This record gives sequence, structure tokens and C-alpha cells, in this order.
Amino acid sequence: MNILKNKKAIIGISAAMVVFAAIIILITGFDGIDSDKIEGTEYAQLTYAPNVPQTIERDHPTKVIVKLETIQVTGRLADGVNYNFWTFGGKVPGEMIRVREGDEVEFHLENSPLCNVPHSIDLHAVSGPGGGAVASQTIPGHSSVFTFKAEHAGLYVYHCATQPVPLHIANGMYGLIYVQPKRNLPAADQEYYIMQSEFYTNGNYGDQGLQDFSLDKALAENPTYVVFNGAVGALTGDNAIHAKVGQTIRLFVGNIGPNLTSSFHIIGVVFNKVYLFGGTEVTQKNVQTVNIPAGGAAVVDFKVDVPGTFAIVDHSIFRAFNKGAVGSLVVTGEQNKDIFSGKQQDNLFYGSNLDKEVQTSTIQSVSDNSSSSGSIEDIIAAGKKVFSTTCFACHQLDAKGVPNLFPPLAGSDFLNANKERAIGIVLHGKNGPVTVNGKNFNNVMPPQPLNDDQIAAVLTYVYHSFGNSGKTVTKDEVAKIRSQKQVSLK
Amino acid sequence: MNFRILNIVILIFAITAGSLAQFKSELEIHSKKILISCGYYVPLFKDDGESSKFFVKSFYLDSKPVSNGEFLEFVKAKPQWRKSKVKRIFADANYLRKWKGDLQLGKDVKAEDPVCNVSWFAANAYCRWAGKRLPTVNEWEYAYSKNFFNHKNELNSGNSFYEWTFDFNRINFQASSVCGGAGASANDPKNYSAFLRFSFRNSLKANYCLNDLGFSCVADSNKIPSEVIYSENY
Amino acid sequence: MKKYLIGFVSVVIVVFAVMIYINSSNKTLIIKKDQNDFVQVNNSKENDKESCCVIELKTSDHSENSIYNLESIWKDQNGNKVELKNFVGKKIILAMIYASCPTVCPVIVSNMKNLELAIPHNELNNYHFVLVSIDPDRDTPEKLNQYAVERNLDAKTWTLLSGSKNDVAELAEMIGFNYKKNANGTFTHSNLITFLDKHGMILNQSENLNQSSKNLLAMLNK
Repeated sequence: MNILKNKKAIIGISAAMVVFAAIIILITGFDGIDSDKIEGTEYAQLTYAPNVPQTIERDHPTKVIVKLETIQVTGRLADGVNYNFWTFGGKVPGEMIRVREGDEVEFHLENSPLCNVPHSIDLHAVSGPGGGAVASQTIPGHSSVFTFKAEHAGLYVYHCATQPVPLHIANGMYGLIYVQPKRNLPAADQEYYIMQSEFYTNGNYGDQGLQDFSLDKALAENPTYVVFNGAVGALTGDNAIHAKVGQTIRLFVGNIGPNLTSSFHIIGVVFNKVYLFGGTEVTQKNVQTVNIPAGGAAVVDFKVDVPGTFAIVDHSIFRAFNKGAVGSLVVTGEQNKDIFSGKQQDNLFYGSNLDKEVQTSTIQSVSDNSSSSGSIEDIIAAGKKVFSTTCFACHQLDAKGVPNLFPPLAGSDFLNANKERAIGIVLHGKNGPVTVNGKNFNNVMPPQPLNDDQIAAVLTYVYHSFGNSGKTVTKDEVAKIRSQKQVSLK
Repeated sequence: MNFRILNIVILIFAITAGSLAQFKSELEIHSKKILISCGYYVPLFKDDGESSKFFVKSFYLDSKPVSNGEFLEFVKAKPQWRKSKVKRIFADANYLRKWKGDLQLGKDVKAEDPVCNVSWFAANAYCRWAGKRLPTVNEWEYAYSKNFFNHKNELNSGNSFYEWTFDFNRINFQASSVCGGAGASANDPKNYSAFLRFSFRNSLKANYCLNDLGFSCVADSNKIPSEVIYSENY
Repeated sequence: MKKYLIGFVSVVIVVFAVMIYINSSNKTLIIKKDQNDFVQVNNSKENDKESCCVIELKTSDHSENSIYNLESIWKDQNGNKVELKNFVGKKIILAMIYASCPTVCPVIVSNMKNLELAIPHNELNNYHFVLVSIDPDRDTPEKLNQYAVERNLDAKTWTLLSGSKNDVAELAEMIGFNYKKNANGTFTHSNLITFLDKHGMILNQSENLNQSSKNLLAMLNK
């Protein structure tokens, strides 16, 4: 039977062709078929966490030159805690690299003459011996060059792979390389780079001074620190990541371990799309927590519809609470009560029949290791840290509070009127109605588990900032009020 | 009379003190030789997957790495090893980098400190000039395991000092210095300090001159000590 | 209606075939190296960033990087004293071997012999083949002479050297040859043929045992 001679068949064919053309154009976005010829040469843009190199707009592969320097630096692991980091580019994690699928990457690894061990790089995106590690083995004061084809799109970890490999990783030598697919993922409004890792120190969490690597703890897989972006607090306070209500946020998340698998979670956020293991396909929609293996990665896309500060955690939660695995995403914009109402009712509750015992909580005093002496500037700086890790959650970073919920500390008549009362509230908490700058509040502030130094510092900081009266609070004044037991706060 | 005796006493004292001081500074620049008694050494890597041990013969080891002062004597005697004369195939451009000139150390370089930025060729030539030789890796590691070196490689401190060995890149050269699974091929996978030295040696080329890399010399000994200082139950 | 369907289905098949074809052709990539481009970009950035750290290599200077800087004295298969610089003026094909090697060294030597045959006879005078023993304990000049006779290595074009362990180690370091003596008396070693120019500079090295004489000749005349 001759199809072409039949009029109806021809109409059918034409209709199908139109439909297909439309579908293909829809899928490819008019890009047509990309060129696969390598044209031109450029230097890769490299960024330090949490920043991500800009989207590559090219529609063809090119030769990309990447230069990374390995260098050993002593830096901050936590407040008052230093560590001899081994790094790519002087920071932990190393610089993020972005290339496009099909690019020819000429990689220069330069080992600083100040280093005292050889280094190399194993890029998980590379197909070849050691992921480039054999070709890039480099003694201090030398540099190595090798070239690879970025064949496989996706998000990949890189790390040093010189013997003993676990030591090089534990000391900080890792980062992410993103091989952007030819057909890029849908555009996101904000992109950020987060890397989880562990540190093993001879001292305990928070022990002050320069800390040595502990082989015993590393072998026991019992880290002293689990952190985002190389240090406790490297993703909070001034280092928090930001977005606006309604924006699409894309996180490129890596986990190097060296031992632990991450249970990556953002409190109060559902990941709309997850590209599990850093691959290029959406593997799940609407995910709460993403597993990221050691030496693996994930890309997550989500939108936040209400303003606020959202905690980024490893939901293996002791790591977040006790070992440093916390970051902050600060979202600004208009409230949307349809999405989240805030607290609508606060009623008395006398306990169910199941409740027979009332547990009392005691105030735990934090060990006395924060900066106790020093100039007023030091005290204010220490106070700012306490404020931005503790108080800001309710009173906000600008200390203006939240209308109807948390009273302002900025230019607060209530605060400035009575210093002793303020000390008492931080020490013992506050429950019930209060009027601040003519506005009424009725809420609960829990007692703060801070030591005398910290309370003195944070109150001095608040009094010296936000248009307040400039009072200074001393450690002795706090100690005196602490010893008075519960005075009348009402 | 009294004065004369006093003068003599003072003179004797001065001469003694002077020669002692002379002796002391000689000692600071020159090393003594220490007898390392023979014994067994367990290398970092297994031999063909088998646990192995080496018998190390007795040898003399310098009590400390070759100093700048000692190396200066060498280049005075052997002009082809001076900073400006050395051929690039024997030593890269970092050769004696901290020295001020061919025969001047400069004020930041102490005569008694270990000489650094010397290549394997230069270290080997020095040892032969001094009637000694470079230790083998086995000899060096054996002496290190017996604490005969006062420098230690801390796992992540800023200070490390490495030394050339005669066969620095020959021991187990088929084992990659970058393979992550290398722990399985090691006799003691927890000996991270040995791994560091191994990968350092394996990354070297014989004309490299590095800041933290010097050398000690050894000499053969025919002495067989009555007691073996190191015995294990093998 | 049935005919519309036939038309539709046939187009579906054709379009899928085309899509699969396009997809597969994507994977055959053409790599074009634009050397000039790279040099330009590289220089402009390198000047301000790297001038402090680049180690100056006087690569163009023959006397600096020639392996003939080694002053060691060797013995050939006839027991005559030989210095490496005696080879100045000829292109050298050099390998480090040991006479009792049961496996790899015979292959290296036969590769070198095939190369010898591939060189036009009237040009052979410009080349010389050198074997250096890594086993001086056992490979005496007599033993090496026997080795040469057994394998028909013409003394006009072939020299077999033995020397002290130290001299062997220095030469090995210079050409990047690795070796290690095993407990059973054999050696583990690199498979390396090194080509030297008339001044003793390394022209090229072959690390592949399965090289055709054509390839080796190309490497020699790079």
C-alpha cells in the first residue's frame, strides 16, 4: 500500500510533523543542536564558599584553564580554636570550579614552596588514573599540568590524593567542581556552595588554642568538629546565605567526610527538587532530608515563601548541636500568613493524666573560656558574637524584634531604664506582659545558659549599639545578680 | 711572684677556654658518627603482599644532618658544586637558594644548621667526597625507628625536615604514592608519618632542591656488636 | 482514520530515528587545540601573577642539561675505559638492562635491533646503541661481551657498559629509570629506551614494549 499517494495519510504526516516540531522546540528551547567543537580558551572563574561561579552562557565547549594552588595555613576552626589547615587556594573548602560539559580542561596544580609535603588532586569528574592524582603529584615549589575532558555533567568532589590520603583530606584539602550540563538546569535566582566536613583534634570541642590532628579519633570515626564550609560559624551570622521570599534557591552541597555520611536538612524547608548524588536528573520532588555520602554531592532546589532565618543542619542532630554542623539561610520579604501563621494561640495547659512529675531544669553554666578580659572593643566584639548566635533568633540581627511577638532591643525604653532588670532577664528569663516603646508584648523568654562574661559582653554590646544608652555591664554585676537568686522580675 | 703565678694561671685558663670554645664550635658544625647496631627493620610496604622484614647491617650514621658549614668546605674543594657553577641537570634553580653567594652563607644562614636546597646529586657527591655515602631507605628508616634522629615529622605541624636517601625512589616504586587503598599493602597502616615520608620521597626527582630537604651521611661498619640492640620475635 | 494513524506512526518512527542519530553523533567530538590562543591568554595573566615563582630552566643550553655532564668512567664489553662524553656527535639509543634478565630486557634489546635494521645502512654511522648494565656484580665486561656475541650486536654500533653501583644510580636518576633488586636476584625495573641527541640531551623516551621500529625511528628523528 502506497502511503504517500493517499491524501489522508499525507495530512496525518503533516499534522504529526507539526506536533513533533513543536515538542522538539519546546524541549530544546530553540537551542537547536549545540556545537561540540572546542573553540577558544578561557580561564575558569573560581569562587570561595559560599559563592558559586556564574552560569556559563556559552553554547559550545572551550578550552578552560584552571589554576589551583595548594598551601598550608593556620586558621580559625572555631572561636579561639586554630588548626594547621592544608588547603586548595588558602581556604577550606577549596575554590569551586565550574566548567561546561565537553570542555577541555587544562589543570595547573601549583604546590606552594611554603608547603612541606607533596600534594595532588583527584577530581571525581575525571576519568583517568587517580582522577588526575597520578599526573598532578607535586612537590613543594613545583607545579604540574594535566588535561582532561569534562565528559560527565554533574556536581563532583575533588580532594588531595597524596599519601597518606586520609590525612590530607582530614586537614582540609577538598572542594567541588560543577560540570554544567550542555542543557543547563532551569535557572535559579540564588546559587550557593556548601561543603560539609569533619575535623579530628586532640583537644575536645572548644578547647582553646592551636589543635593537633588526632589519628586515634580519626580511626575511631569520632570527629571533634563537623562543620559547613570549614569552620564552626562559617555559614552563620555575617557568613549566612541570603535570599528573598519567593526566589528559587539552588544549593550545591558536597560532603567530603572523611568518615561520616551527611543527613543534610534545612529546618523549615522542603526541597522541591533533588538531584541526588550530584547527578543531572531530578530524582525526587519534595524531600525533607538528603543523604550525602562521604566523597559525594547533591544539588537541591527550593523556594521559601515566608521570611525568617532557616537553620541548615546535618540532621544527625548531635553533630549540629554539639559539633558545629549548623548554618543559616536568611530570607527577607513580606510575611505570608497563608503559608505560615506564626503562633495563633497560647492557652494554659494543666497537664494530662499522664503527667505525674514536673521536671525542673537547672541553668547550666557554660565553661569559662570566652574572652574575659580586654578592652571595651574586645568585650563588644565578644558580645556581638553571643548576640548573633543566641539573641538574634528572636530579637533579630537589627535588634528591632518582631511586631507582636518579640520586643525590640533597639532604642528600647524598657531596656535602657534598668540595667539590673536586664541582667536578671537574661539570667532567669521573662514570662508575661511587658510594654516596650508603647507596644504590648506577652511572650516567654527562656533563661539563657550563658556565663557571667558572656552576659556582661552581650549586654554591653546591646547597650552600645542600636541607639541604646551606652551603659557598660561588668562580669561582677552579673555575678552579683546571679547570687541574689530569683528576684522579682515583674 | 704571686703575679707571675696568677698570670700563668690566667694564661692556662685562657688557652683552655679558647680551645674549648674552638672545639665546641667545631662540634656544632661537624657531626660525630654514631654506630647503629644491626637488626631487623619492618618496611612500610609489604613485599608482594607478604609481611616482610629486612636485616640491616651495622653502619655509622652522622649524629646530625650535614651542616651549611660542612657543605661550604665541600664547595670550596669542589668548584663544580658552587651555586653559580652547578649544572641544571644536577640541581635546579633553587640550589643553595638561601646562601648569599658561592662561598658566603649570608647572615640568615647559620653554619651549624642543616644545609637545605641541595639535590640528590649534590648530596651524593658530598658523601663520596667525605669518604661516606648516602643511607639507603631501609637504613634511614631503621635508624629513625630507633630514634636516632632528633627531627620528627608531625602529622600536620608547620615543621618538617626530610633527608635524601640513596635509593629514595626505588623502594616499592610500583606502589603509587597517590593510591587511596595503599593502607592494605602496608605492614603498619597506622604509621602515617612513614606514609608522609614515603610520598615525599616518591615525588622527588634527583635534581630537585627543596627548602625542607637535607641529608645525613653514613659509613659502613664491620663491627658486629656483641649484643643486638633490636630484637623482635620473628 | 486508520490511514491518519499509519501516517502518524510512520512519522513517529522516522523522528525517533533522527533523534537517536543526532544524539549519537553528539558523542563523537572533535578536539581542536588552538595553541596560539592559549599562549596569548596565558602570558597576559602569567606575567603579573607568577613571575615570583617560576623556576628558570636553561633548557636551551646544551651544556646544562646534557647527561654527558656525568664524569663517571665505565668499561665497555672489551674492558676498555669509556666516558659517556665519548659518544658526543652521534645520536644515542640507550637502554639500561641486565644480562640475566629473563623477560623484559631481551624484548627491549630486540626492539633496538629492529630499529637498527630500520635505519638506512649508509646513515648508521650517525647512530650508536648503548646498553648499560644495572647489575655490575654479575655483568662483567666478559659477560657483556658474551651477551653481545650471542645476540649479534656489532661492536661498531653497539657498546655495552658496566660501572659502579653509584655510577649506575646517577645515570638512572638522570634518565628517570627506576629499578630495585629483588630477593631472588632479579630486578624490577622500568621499560625504557632513551634517545639522546648529539650533545647528550634527552630527545625522547619510549616506555612501551610493543613499539614498532617505525614508531621508534620517528621518536629518534623527532
